[in-house]
Amino acid sequence: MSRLGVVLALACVVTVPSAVSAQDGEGEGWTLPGFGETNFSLTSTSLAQYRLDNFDDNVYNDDFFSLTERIDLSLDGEELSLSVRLDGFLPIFGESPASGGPSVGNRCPPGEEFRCEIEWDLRPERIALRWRPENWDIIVGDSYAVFGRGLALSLRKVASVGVDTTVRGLQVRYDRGRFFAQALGGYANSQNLDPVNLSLIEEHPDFLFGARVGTRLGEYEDLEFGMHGVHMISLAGCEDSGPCDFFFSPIPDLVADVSATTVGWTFSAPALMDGEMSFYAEANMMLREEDPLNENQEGERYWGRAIYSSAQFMRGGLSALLELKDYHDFLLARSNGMRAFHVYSSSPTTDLETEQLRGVANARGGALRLTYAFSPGPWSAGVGGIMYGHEDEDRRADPFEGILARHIYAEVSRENHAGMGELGWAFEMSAGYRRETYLHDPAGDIFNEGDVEAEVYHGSAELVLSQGHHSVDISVQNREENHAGFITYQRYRRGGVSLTYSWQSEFSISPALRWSTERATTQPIYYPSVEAKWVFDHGSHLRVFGGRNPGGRVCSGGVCRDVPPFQGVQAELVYRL
Amino acid sequence: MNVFTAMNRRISSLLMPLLALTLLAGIPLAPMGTADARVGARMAPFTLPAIPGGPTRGRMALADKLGEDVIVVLFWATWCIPCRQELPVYQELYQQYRDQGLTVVAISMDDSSSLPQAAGWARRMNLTFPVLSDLDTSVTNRINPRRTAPFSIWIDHEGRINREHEGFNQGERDDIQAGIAALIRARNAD
Repeated sequence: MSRLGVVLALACVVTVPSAVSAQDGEGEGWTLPGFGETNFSLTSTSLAQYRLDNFDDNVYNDDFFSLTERIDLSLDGEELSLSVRLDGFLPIFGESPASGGPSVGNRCPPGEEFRCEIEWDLRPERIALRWRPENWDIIVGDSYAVFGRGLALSLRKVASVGVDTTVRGLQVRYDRGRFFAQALGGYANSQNLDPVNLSLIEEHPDFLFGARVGTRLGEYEDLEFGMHGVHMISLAGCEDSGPCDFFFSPIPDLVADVSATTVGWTFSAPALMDGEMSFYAEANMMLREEDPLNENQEGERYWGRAIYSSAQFMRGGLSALLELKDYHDFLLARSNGMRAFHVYSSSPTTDLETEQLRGVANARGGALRLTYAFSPGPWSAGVGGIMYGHEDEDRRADPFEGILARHIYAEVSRENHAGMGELGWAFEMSAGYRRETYLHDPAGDIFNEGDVEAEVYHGSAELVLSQGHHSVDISVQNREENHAGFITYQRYRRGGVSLTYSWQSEFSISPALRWSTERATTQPIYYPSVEAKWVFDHGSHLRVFGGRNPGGRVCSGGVCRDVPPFQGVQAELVYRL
Repeated sequence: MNVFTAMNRRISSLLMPLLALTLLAGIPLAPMGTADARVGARMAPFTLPAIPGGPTRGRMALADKLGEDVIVVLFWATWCIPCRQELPVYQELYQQYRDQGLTVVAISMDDSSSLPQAAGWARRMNLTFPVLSDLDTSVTNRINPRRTAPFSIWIDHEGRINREHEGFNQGERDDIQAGIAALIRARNAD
């Protein structure tokens, strides 16, 4: 598509909200042939950003302005719906180190093109036609799917790490209450513009086929038993695009074609003992086959397993949650580096969101969380303990020969509910300690079995005050970390304090100061910023951020990414029509 | 560039002009009132299961309440602190107006790792309205496309969306109370 087309489309996006603002949005839907009464909705998310620096060693991805546009369009009829998401990205560089003048896109000198991963892009990212006759749900195009708790298959958007993968093809679901079935087939379609570092992600030719059937029993039809199977074919990619993985992944692509076949079952009893107890169990077995890289090598073929179970008991104010897991060589797709975009399973981690580790394919252990709410009083308190062994997913060793992670934490909160016009307040505080030790002699002679691999002290507190239309939120977090490095331990501190003032739901302003000494030699220690948000219509808002953000490791759904620091200005306009 | 990238580029080159034209076509239509905002539009029904160990059992079909009750749909997650401040506000309203035709439904956006904790949080917040799970995000994608948490939708007794709102702060409590009370009054006046 020509650059003129890009400019035209972006101009449309900017123009539509202003054009439609003349109407108040009240009214009946259209009546369209085949759709019946139809609602049209448009959500436009525009992000204008000036990135001064992301504090890496690449000078070609700093000091530029960019426009990111995402439009969700949908026609939602009585049984039929049609949706399209259009993604556009336009970076505008100032003086190019290579050419000496302004440029759009590549500005790297010859031989260093691989450093210019930021390019303009415009594409329909999500297209789906959905038909929902009684008991059926048929989707042609892009769709998400999760089997069970996601061990065998999980295609969903994980916004916090910028991962958004669908299966592009056909998905059919049938649900008659006591019986349900689901089948899908197509290729994995990952989001191409990485919202975290603004680079383009290459398509990866992975094909997915899956089916699930099950039955629900009991008076409430909530005793559920299901069986599933998934087959993935991953053709070797990147062989003709060279460094697409090499510079972002700790381990470059060393495998050729891969296929994985998973079969498993799930059992769910969400309300036993008059609702006081719930139970879930899932077991999966996987056969993974990796073709040889060349004729002189042999391919690899191995079996993996994943067993997960959780039980929860609740009586009075007490809630006890026990989770157990045993994942061994269970690798539907790699999750490190850029491969995070090609993860098709989301094994429950049992860990805290802030503490997850990359390697989820080999892990064994459990977690126990105890919470007591002083009901009907305003206090509640909880303690938790986690212990499991884990191994890096590429090492394929037993988890109990890897690293033992132990974590204890406690939290307490109190809320004071106030009547209209009275002063209300809420307070929440948590603290914890994590320790990870080697269960084996690591490579080299620096560390030994039993030595600490990582140690973390963490704490946070939040106080919210409100009266009438005004509210103030004060939040403080700090983490002290100590990690084994190549030859010695690295100690650092990460945290932040923020103060947010809000007036009704319409306006908020939040100055913040964050700190990180993790890379104090190459990156700043202090990260001041101000963010303001104005909500001006039905779900529409303008958000402006200026300053620095330290980034850091973000984990969600078994996927972790190291989000780079940011220094610059961002303005986000979200408009709903 | 591999075959898939090339294929996507070809699809893009064919569809982009069409999309641009669609957008352009929407511009003159919108001020004429033929395009609808979601506010005022009919709420799409959905059916979802209750979270394990939650306040209610089985699956809930929104269609059973649409066009009859005033309905509040709340998107939340265990890791979302503003959500945990918002839900008790609606619990108070639910207790106050449940007998006058208010239905409140919370949809957990938690993934498989944090979903087991949802029931514990529901209990700590003393929630008694249905708390549902949407693990495959099929409902979230349709009615909360930006996947914001918290995100609330008010639906009047005729089944039409009255308000959509992202975020929550304590300064909104009075407005929420007044808004829900007005919807209940309108329902009971008809």
